[in-house]
Amino acid sequence: MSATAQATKNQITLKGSVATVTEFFQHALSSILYQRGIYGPESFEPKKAYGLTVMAVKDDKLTAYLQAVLQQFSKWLEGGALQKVVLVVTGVASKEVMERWTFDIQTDKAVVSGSAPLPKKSESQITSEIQAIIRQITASVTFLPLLQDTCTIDLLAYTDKENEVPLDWEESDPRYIKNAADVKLRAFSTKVHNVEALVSYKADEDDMM
Amino acid sequence: MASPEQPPSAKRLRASELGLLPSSSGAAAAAAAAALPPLAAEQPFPRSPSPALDEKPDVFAFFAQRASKQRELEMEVARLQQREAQLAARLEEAELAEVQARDGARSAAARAAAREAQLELQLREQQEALRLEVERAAGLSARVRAAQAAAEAAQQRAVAAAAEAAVAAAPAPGADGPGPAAELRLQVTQLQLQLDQLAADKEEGERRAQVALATAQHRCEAEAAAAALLQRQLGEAAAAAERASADRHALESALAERDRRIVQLEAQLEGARSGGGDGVLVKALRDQLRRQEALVAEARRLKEQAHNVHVMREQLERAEARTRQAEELLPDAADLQGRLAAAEQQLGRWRLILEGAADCATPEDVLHLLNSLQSQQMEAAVQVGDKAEEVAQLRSTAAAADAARAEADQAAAAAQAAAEQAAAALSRAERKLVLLTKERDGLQGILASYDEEYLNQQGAELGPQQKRIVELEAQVAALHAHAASLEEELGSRGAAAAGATAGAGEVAARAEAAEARAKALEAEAENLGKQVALLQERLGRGDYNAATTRVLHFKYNPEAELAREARDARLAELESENEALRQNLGRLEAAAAQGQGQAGEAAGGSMRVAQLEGETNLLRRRVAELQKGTDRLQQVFNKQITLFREAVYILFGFRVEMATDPAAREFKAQFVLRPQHAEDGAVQLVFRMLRDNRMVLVPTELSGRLQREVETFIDRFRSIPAFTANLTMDYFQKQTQC
Repeated sequence: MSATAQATKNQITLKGSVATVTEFFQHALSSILYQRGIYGPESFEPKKAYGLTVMAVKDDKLTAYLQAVLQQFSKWLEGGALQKVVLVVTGVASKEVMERWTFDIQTDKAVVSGSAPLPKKSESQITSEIQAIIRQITASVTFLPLLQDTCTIDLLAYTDKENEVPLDWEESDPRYIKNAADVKLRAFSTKVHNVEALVSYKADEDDMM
Repeated sequence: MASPEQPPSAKRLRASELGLLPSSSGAAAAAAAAALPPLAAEQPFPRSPSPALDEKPDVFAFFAQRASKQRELEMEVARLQQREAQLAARLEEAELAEVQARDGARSAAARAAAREAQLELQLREQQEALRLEVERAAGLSARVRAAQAAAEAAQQRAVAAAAEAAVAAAPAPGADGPGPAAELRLQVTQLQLQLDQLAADKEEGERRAQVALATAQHRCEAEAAAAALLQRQLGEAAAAAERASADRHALESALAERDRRIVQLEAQLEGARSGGGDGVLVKALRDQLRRQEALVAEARRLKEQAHNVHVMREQLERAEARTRQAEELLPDAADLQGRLAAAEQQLGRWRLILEGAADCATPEDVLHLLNSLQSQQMEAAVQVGDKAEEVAQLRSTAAAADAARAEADQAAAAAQAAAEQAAAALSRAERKLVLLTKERDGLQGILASYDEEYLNQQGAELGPQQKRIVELEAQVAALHAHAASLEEELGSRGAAAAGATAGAGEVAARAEAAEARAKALEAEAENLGKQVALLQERLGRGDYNAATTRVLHFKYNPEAELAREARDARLAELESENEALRQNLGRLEAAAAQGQGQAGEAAGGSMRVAQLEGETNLLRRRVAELQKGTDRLQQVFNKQITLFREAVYILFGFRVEMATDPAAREFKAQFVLRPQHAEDGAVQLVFRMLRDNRMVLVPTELSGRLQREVETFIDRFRSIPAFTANLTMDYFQKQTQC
């Protein structure tokens, strides 16, 4: 929670909330990429965050990509335009979507427009909520199917339609999974942004019977 | 024990000669005797009759005594040998201590000498500084004296000048004009000024000299104090050295004393070894010993008595002190007696209270009673709370019953009103029935009249009357039906009235229905919740409203990058394959040109050729597409490079053209720079970039003219930008000056 810019100890500003959510995305996405084995262990390094040891991306190319994406996410979050962030895991050979990590974002529009007073929530409470999600991500390898093929990723952003599309961004298919099984994860809230996590994965045929 | 103050008897002298007793003449011998433990005195002698006292000496007893004495002496010798060993060890220790003491004394002497030398050196330095300060004070005094002498001389010169001025001024009234007098006055004034100046300088010099003298005196005093301090320190060091020396001497004397004692002990030991026994002396010594023991016992008894006297005296003093304390406490005793009586009365009252209280035989029972009362109070409070809760529940139940009763009353009133309405309707129906019955009877009478008329007329066809009869009969039937319906309604109203009387039951049924409806609503709410969850799940899964939401992704995401890399690899593969096929095609075309006559041989391969031609066409198309892309890239590149060159020309004042020569081994590329502000458009500078990325100037006609600048900027400072900037400024100045 180092980047939070809060007016007081427990008062959540819009910028502070955006920083918190962006930082969460950074750590959550890095943890997913490490835990699911999408990139090799040499691309990560351990770091302390939220009172836990999380694996942070070290690979330069991947770091540049995540930085570019998270920077745009911050802008959208600050304007209240970001509705959902989806990490799509695709098999390289089969080009089939194997997993979808969805982070649904509910934004308090009144705070974004400045018409409502700044909400209050303790930093420790937010940290504990985020900690729970990170723990669930770490534990998800126990129930998610093993990714046997080489996989790659794409990050989708569900945004309001009235916003302009940035230069380096383009419209995409939602990349649904056929015969998906869903597991709802925990959520956290900064009182300005509420983030709910969910993972969908391609279930085996036997599981669907 | 023999006292040294007693005069020596003949037996003692004899014992001294035999070496059994120490000699009383020498002090050293006395000291040795004092240092040694009383070996012989402590030995218990055998209680045998002395041969000198026996009237009839027994030879065997004498020899036995001699043998026992010899054994004792041998034991004594052994003890002395042991003692000698101890003394030898002590001697070694003393020697070691002596060596250490000597070392310490030597080191202390060395330290004292070093300290003394250091202090002497400091003293000399201080004396030298004092001498310099004295000389400096003397110099300052001399300067003061010189300044005073100069001041006096100047004053004398001033006086002489004044006299000359007076002499010169005397004929002035008779002179031609006031010129010389004025000059002399001016000189006098100047001399006076000089005199004043010299006096001021003198005063200043005196003041400075006095200040310097005072400073020097202070410094001299400080130096003297420091010297005195150093002298004192030196004295202390010398005293310390003397003390160390005295210690050393004392140690040496102690060591000598120790040596002397050792020698004495050794002599005594030798004496003890060589000494013989004398029964008379032994007996005398034994008697003396007994007397001494008796004296000692007497002295101990007396001492003990004296000690007991002291103890008893102390006990007496303590008893007297206790008596005084008791006397002092006597006045308080009466007060305590009164307080005791009051306490006893209070105790009696408490006992009465305890006897009055149930189950309280002892004071501890009071505490138990209090605890039980407190617990009972708490239980009662809990019961009161429970009762209050029950009362509240009963009140709420009563309120609910009142509400139910009110509802039942309302329902009963409603049912009563319905019954009244039904009764009114019944009366109306009865009246209507009566009227209808009368009407029916009237109509029956009319019909009967018509029947009679018909029968009288005996007509075969139905006339208008008959039609009227039919209509009336239909009307009657309808009225009957109406009456039946009214009767049914009456029955139903009656049933309703009967049901209304049981209003409470109906209310209960309605309540049950409401409850069932609430349950149904709850189930519906649960279903709606499930639907909401389902919708949220769908939303989380990725469903979205395409009218308001847009799904975006970064163009250069890892997946796209991977696909791009795969595409590039595939393209490279196809290009290589294309090249290989092109070569094959070339070979086949060549073979076809050569083997026109070998048509028969080529017939089998015609299909292969056709296949290859198809592939060739395909590849040609691909090559054309790639060529198109390459051309487009080339166009864009040319456009951009032209823009870049133009920007360089505008910004830096040189048009740069780059040329590469693959055949040249010395350099990578050659750059031709044409100045913007040059009058002659043909002038140019040529640079070459070598293989090690160094840039060198190629001699041209322009560089030949700028030899000095080339040497300064490029050869000396190795800065091509400075050279080109200087050239640009030169051209610019020439252009603007013209």
